[in-house]
Amino acid sequence: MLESIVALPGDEIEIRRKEGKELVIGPGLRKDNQNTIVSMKCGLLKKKENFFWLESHQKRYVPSRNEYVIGIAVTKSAETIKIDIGSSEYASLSFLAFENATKRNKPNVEIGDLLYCRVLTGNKDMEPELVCIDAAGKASGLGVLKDGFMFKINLELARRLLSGSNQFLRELSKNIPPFEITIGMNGRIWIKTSSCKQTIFLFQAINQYSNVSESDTENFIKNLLKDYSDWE
Amino acid sequence: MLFDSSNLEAELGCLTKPDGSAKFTINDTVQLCGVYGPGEVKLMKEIAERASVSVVYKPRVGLNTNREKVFEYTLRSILDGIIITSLHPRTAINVIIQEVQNDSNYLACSLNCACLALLDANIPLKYTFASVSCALIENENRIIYFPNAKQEKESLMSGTFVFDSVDKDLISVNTSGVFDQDQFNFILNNARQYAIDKIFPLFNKLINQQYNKN
Amino acid sequence: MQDIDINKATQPYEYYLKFIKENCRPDNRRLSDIRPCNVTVNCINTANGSSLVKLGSTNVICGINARLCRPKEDRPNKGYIICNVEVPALCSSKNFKSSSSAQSGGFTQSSVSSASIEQTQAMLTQLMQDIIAESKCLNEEDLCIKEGKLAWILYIDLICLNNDGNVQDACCLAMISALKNLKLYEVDFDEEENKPIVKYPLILKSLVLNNEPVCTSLFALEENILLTDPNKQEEDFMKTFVLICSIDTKKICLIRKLGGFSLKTEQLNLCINRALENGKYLRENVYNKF
Repeated sequence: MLESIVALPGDEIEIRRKEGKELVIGPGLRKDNQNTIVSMKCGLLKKKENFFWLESHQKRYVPSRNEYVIGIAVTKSAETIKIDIGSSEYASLSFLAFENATKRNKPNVEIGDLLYCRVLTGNKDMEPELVCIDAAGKASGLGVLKDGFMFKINLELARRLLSGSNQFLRELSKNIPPFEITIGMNGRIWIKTSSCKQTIFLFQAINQYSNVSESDTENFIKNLLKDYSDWE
Repeated sequence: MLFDSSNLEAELGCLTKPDGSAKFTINDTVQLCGVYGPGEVKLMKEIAERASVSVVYKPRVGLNTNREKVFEYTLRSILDGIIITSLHPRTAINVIIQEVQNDSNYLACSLNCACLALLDANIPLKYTFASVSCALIENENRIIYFPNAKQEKESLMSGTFVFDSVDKDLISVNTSGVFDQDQFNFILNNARQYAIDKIFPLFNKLINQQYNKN
Repeated sequence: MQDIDINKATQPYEYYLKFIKENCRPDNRRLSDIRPCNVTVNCINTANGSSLVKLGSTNVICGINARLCRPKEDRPNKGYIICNVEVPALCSSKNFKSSSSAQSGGFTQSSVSSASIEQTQAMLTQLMQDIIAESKCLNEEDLCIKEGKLAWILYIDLICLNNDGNVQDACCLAMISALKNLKLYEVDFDEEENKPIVKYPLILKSLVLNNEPVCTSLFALEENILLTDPNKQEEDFMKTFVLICSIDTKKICLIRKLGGFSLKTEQLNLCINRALENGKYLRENVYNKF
């Protein structure tokens, strides 16, 4: 019903509001002068309780707070590193925003290094700021990513792989040798495996998964593994 | 009076590098459009409170002449009014249109192509727009949609009209030929009806296809 | 009194809207009035035809030079008309930077009106060329003296000396006034010696124009308000822009509307009516003086 509405920009979205409950609108929707909800982008209308948003295909990342992204270090200065996260502006990451970092004990980050960071401030008027520690001051997986291979996918696929209900990576990992994977909300994926063949296999698998629906996941994995075992 | 045997085709996402791309075909005219944005902007072009839109049109052969510059300016003025630029200040949205084949109707084809590419890039828009090019044949009082060069030359007047998707009002128009007010209103109303009947549904169909295939 | 001055500087648009709501403009015009218009012809002695137009404070000078040439093989019975419009840095403080940046950092610049100098010049040149082509006021066949051998080229140069808004209407007035006063020598072609001969005694011939195009620019601010003939300040505020070129009391040869917000059919018809009236007024009071 609501799930299959594809909205184009300018379409008025009719939402029946429940009495007393606040209506929250998310990405892709806006309220215009006449107090109607209008869509700004094209996408599928989704809802969860009283929260409505548009799910759309996008390649360009727009930074927003508390998202985990993979960035590439571009320039270093005394206090900060400039990181390219794929947005319109480079983000800044302070040297002190790492676990156990002090003025004398700065982390070893080179230009061209991959970093997995959290977006601290991401609004349209300022340059984005990143940190490599969580709220408690621990690294918990954030920081420099050594070796491995990074590639780009579109944002929708990244969100899909990260969502709790998606079983693709879990199922896949049961049948192939162990690998490390990091998914950034800016559409960048970093994988580290023990062999080149496995890296290529994972790269192809993830890219092809963007065309597969949720219900076909199992079949897709079966076909993939068939091909993989041929390689071995 | 409708007389339409035009062949309209469109394809979204045909290029991998740009953030959004589209290809639009009207009879023998093919245009390709790529959109980058919101991305980095040069300091000279930076605007503090909104995005800076720039349009480049590349003809198939030769350099840009005044005709192309006028088209770039017209498209930029249309896009500045449609893109919600205040959501992405200090960024640049670049629209590049490449002429692949030009039989005639290059204006209408490029405008439709640009609209689709913007939808593919998912840039926030106030509404979508559709462009129709038509010619009025003098003695027969009938309209040919997307005329070829010969039909345009023999017509009394011809024009390219751009309509918005919400109120179906006129965003932009470019006419050629000598006409009076009644003839203009006649061709305007018919062009609007054509956009409502053919072009907006085509956009809807394309976007639905893209999102519902999953 | 002081409050008014402060408002004018800090909130120019709101200050301007106050006048519009009362149906008039700060420079004492009605919404549909153009500024006082003054045309002088034959101001450049060395040109074959010239004119100087003052539309309010906007000054445009036009000079037409005629040269003889051999027509190209694919169009042996046609002469050439080549327009060129220049908007130099001298005419306005906003035109000072000649780089191709679209905005010069101004925050009041409307997205419809902002353009670099190259783009403005390209637009105006193409517009003038289109006016001549669409209105057919001058046939290129009339410029041919001997088919395949000799024809006139008219170089129409327009320079904006002062830009107080609406350069396009002023350019059109200047060009058509200059064309009406263009005087060409009678020239013959000598077959044996294969060169042109100027007839003596010198006979000056003026060109007859088929019609007299008049350009009218209209712009819109809020939803329903349409105004004619923007000055420089109004060009900064405008949300959309319509250009209509009429050739006589009923016929139109060009309608151009730039982006911005969309106009309803009734508003478009209002624009067309105003353009036709304005055309009639200018033809009676300006063109018919020469």
